[in-house]
Amino acid sequence: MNKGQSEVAIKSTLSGATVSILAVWACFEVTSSEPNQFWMLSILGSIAIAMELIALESSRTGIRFTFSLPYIAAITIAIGDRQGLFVETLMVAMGTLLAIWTQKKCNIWTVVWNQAIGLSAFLFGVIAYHWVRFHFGETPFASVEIIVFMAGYIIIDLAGLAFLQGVPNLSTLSLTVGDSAWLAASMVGFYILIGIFAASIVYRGSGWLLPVTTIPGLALRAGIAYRVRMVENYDDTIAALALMLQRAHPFTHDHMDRVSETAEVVARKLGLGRRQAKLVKTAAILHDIGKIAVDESILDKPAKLTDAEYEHVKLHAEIGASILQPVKELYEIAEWVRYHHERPDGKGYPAGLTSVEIPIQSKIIAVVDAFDAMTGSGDPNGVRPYREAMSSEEAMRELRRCSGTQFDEVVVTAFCHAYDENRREAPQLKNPNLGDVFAQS
Amino acid sequence: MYLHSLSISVIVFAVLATVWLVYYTRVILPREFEEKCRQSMSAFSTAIEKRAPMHKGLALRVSRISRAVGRRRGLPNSSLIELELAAHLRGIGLCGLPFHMLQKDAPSQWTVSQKNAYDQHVQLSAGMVEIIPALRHLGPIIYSKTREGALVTQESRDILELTSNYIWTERWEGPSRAVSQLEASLSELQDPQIGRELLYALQNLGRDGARG
Repeated sequence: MNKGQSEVAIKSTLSGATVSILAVWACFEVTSSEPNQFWMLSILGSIAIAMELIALESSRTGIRFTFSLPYIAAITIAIGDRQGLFVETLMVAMGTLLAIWTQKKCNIWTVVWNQAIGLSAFLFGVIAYHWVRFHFGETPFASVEIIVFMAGYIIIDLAGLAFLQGVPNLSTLSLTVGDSAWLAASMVGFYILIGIFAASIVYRGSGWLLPVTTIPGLALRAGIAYRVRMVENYDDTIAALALMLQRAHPFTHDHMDRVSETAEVVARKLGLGRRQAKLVKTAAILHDIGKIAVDESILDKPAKLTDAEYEHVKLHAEIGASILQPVKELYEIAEWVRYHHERPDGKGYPAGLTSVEIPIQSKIIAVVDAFDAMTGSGDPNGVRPYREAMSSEEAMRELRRCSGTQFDEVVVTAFCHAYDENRREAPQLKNPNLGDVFAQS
Repeated sequence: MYLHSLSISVIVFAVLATVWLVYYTRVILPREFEEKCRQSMSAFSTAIEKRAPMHKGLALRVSRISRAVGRRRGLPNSSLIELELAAHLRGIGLCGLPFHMLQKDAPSQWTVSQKNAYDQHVQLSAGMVEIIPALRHLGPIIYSKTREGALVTQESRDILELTSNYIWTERWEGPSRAVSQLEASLSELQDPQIGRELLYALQNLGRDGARG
């Protein structure tokens, strides 16, 4: 038997065993449940499985949004734990079989881990709602129990998912799973309502009404699909613009990555919130987008620029802002991009603003951009064609020397502190990308 | 009695909430999404036009006319949005062409090699778009060597290609030349009716592609 045949044999054996166990379990449910309860279980279970099959997947994060949880909650709490476990196991088994038969490259341990997360989440949800029921009694339509069950399920699900993605610390967790959870949080009220809706129908014994609960379920799915697409549209607009700049000026590729990561760190150091720091990171990626309209032969010129050439290059700040302004979410960033070449001493461009008028975000970009331009950060392609690369220490001295005139003093101080902290903590870097910037010595 | 009233209240509330949710997801969210797409399209067009002034207004006109043709062909709204987005992304490959070449007043001032390089920019645009996960599906609409893929994608690609070529030729060589070139290309299409729909759309839309 060759490798391919043995693989098919293993898959077939696994599938056969799974289907057999589930068939026996289903027969047990049929014979042990009351008729009315069995029919409601069948309808709700079918809806739960159908909702699981139409899950949404974010192409960017790979995270799946499923809509079966309210129905699992309603089955577990309104019908019984055993019945809820049966439907959950059935869904998990279907997902496993689908994965091992359809995916060409399927890591069986990833599949097993995914399914273990699902069952663990279910068990945690059951423990949580039983705890509430034991201490506070049964609430009307088990509304509180449904909320607690779903909360417990989601917590374990997200934690398991984060572990699966290899997320070692809380800050990164918030960037991956947290953003997706935030996306779904806007619809969490409806999630809970569907669960309570289904449970109230079961308590009334009106099983014929259960299919009606698919309407809010499908509408919820459509809503989250649009939300996911809007987030992806924002991310992809930024990615497409960055790609356009890279095509026009290839040396900017790694420069954008380094400057954006460092700008975010400095923004957090200056006390800006997480959302603002992320916007600063985006602004740092796009700060030179205006160079799309700058002649690359001038940018790459090794000699000193003429006055006319310099005036041409200076236009990139305003042009960059005009490119970003049409996008509502980038409007705020457009201003920071416009002023990222302003100087505290008023000698910058395009508007000659003084220190108090320049946004702090523009000042951050100015410092980080200048540091990377001076050092090239060890990347042969990162060195500007018109000057030799400096060492990190020389660049830091230059920043301090120009502090108060070309660069903001507070921002330079924050940048220097971040640099020093990073050197002390090397090689265990909290932010490996920051280490790439400061690795040169 | 209390539980009976409460259950009715829960169900009534759930029904009303469902009606609102359906309205929100069928009317408000699609409108919001379409608006965000248009804002992105505007950003792409501005960037392209800053680098290549000879493309000023081109992407907007191509997207409007393509949408009009697509609507007449019965394409669903989601495909029409994709068509518009593809029209605006079709020119991003121009960023890979030399700045001085794109600053010329007209394509007649290009050398043969520059003209060949320009002809390749659509392929470059498709390649760039395929790097971005959520935009990858627009790559085949922008450019494809083969006629593989879903029928809607092929139809969208034909509409976009015909419209882009027509608008470009009309701008630099005049409407008569553009029409004769379009009519000559009809025989190469899987569905020549697309070309006729394009001519109909051009007659009924203004110079900027807006409704007359």
